[in-house]
Amino acid sequence: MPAIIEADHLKKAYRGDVPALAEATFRIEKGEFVTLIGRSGSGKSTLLNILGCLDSPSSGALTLDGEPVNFRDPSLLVSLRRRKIGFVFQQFNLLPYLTAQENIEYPMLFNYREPEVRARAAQELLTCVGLSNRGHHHPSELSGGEQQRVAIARALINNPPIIFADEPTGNLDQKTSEEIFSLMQSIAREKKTTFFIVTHERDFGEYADRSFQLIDGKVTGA
Amino acid sequence: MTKLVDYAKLSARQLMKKRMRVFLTAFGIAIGIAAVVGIISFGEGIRYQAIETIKQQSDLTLIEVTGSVRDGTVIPITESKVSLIQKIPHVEAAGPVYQVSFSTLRQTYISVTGISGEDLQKIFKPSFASGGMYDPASNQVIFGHELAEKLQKYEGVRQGDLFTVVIRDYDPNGAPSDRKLAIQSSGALRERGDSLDSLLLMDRDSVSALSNESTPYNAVYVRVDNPEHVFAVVDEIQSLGLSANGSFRQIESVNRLMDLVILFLSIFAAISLIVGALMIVNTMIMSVYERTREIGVSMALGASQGDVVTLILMECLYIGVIGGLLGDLLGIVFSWAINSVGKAYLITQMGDMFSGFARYDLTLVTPEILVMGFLVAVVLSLLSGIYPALQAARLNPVDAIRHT
Repeated sequence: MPAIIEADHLKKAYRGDVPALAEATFRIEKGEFVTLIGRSGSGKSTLLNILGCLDSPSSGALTLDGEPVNFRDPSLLVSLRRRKIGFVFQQFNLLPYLTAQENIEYPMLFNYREPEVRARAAQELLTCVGLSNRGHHHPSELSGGEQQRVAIARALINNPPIIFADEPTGNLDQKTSEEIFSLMQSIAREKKTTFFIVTHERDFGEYADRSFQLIDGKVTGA
Repeated sequence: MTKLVDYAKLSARQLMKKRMRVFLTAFGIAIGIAAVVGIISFGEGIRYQAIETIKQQSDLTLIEVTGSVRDGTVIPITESKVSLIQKIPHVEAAGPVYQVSFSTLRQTYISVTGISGEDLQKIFKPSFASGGMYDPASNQVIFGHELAEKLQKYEGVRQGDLFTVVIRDYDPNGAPSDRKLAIQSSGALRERGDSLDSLLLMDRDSVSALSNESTPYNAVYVRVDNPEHVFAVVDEIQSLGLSANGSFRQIESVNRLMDLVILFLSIFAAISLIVGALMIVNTMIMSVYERTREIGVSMALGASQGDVVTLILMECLYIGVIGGLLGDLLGIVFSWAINSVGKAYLITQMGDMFSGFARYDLTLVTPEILVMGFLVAVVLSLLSGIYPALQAARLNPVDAIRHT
């Protein structure tokens, strides 16, 4: 199986030598559903930001979907985020003045797709996440679980091979969290999309094909 | 294009969230634009009045062309130049003239212009107080109104009288010698209010024979069909290397003066524009700060720095468009107020002295002024948005997403 994410000795230190990520070397295959479990401050978000091309490592190399990532090339990073990556955040981060459907379409704006194409894709994804009748609602009219479903649909809109989710259930109750994990798992199976989910809740490890741990800045179990 | 339309829609949605703030910011720039529009329209109104007054009091379509000196070379008025002038579009007639001087036996100085009877009719359309045109190649002359009065008063010469004038020649060594010539007036002109009033007019061929002059001519009088075309004709004449003078020069002077006055007043109006621009900068910096997280999320979702800059500048464009339209509207109201209130007040206060102004509006709002006001608002808003836009584009997405 070809690797979709290949991290090779990724390290990150802030302000000289304060280590945020001591060592991350692993390989994730296409369509895998992976969780990264670690305590607060263990470097989970730092690793996720590097893998998502939002931050650069102090050293090491990263390859996404066969493409080596040059962290010094901002336009390449933007291009990778547009083509290969989808993000799901703990706070959902939906734009309050857009409807659910418009929020889902939002990343497609930066790929300069026609409005009809965007609308069709967004409606399909609304159905996919079980919100086909909620497209015209604003985020304030949706529950936390529904907002996160919209956020998952938004992450999928450009059909990226990788979705990074940072504590996607951190703001949700247990039942809704399970529904969200279940939804992400089924999407991963159905669309062969790789999910890389950062969480501090060990219970959700059971949904994963593989579960890494981040202890003292080092990835283990890879 | 799809991108810009989408961004325009998105920015409009953003602005709708904070209508009052946007309106107040746009209003700030609108006040500046209204001041500029009002001041310029006031200046244009004064300019219009001055030019209309000149047009009424002067013969604008008459141009006097003379030879000139360029780079040390004398450019004379030759027959070919006259022919070229006659072919310039909108020139109704162009009559070359000789200019000499006579004196009477009592040493009264007389300026003489030798012009053909046909050119005199076409160019000056003379109206006679008494008598009529001179005969070609004769010693007959026509008195200008002022000259007729002067000759009658100091020389006792009346229209129709035969009288003697002295023509002074100079030999090659510069020694003067005088010749006497008997001339007779065929007519005297009505008062015209121009240079013809003080001239003695004579047939061009007669003057040529008297002064032994052939071409080049001393001047060419040009009649243009319409005051609107005078400056174009002047440009053509000047391109032939010749000089042009006439009442239109007064318009040039008025234009120069009013340009200066309007520029000076606009500088004061610009102060309010600067304040308006600072309001936009402040509003947009606040807006970027409040949306730090949203900008970070957008970057994570694929927005480039250029996309962020475009989105912020698009909002500034809206503010500029609203400010420009509002400013033009306020400027029109301002101009109307000057006309309806200010004019009445000035006329009451200044009485007859100001009565001439009653014919025209004090202000003149032209489409050009309104377009200029609108464009200034838009450009200023875009310039004001550059710093906040760059600030937004330089945000670190990781820090921005964490922003609360």
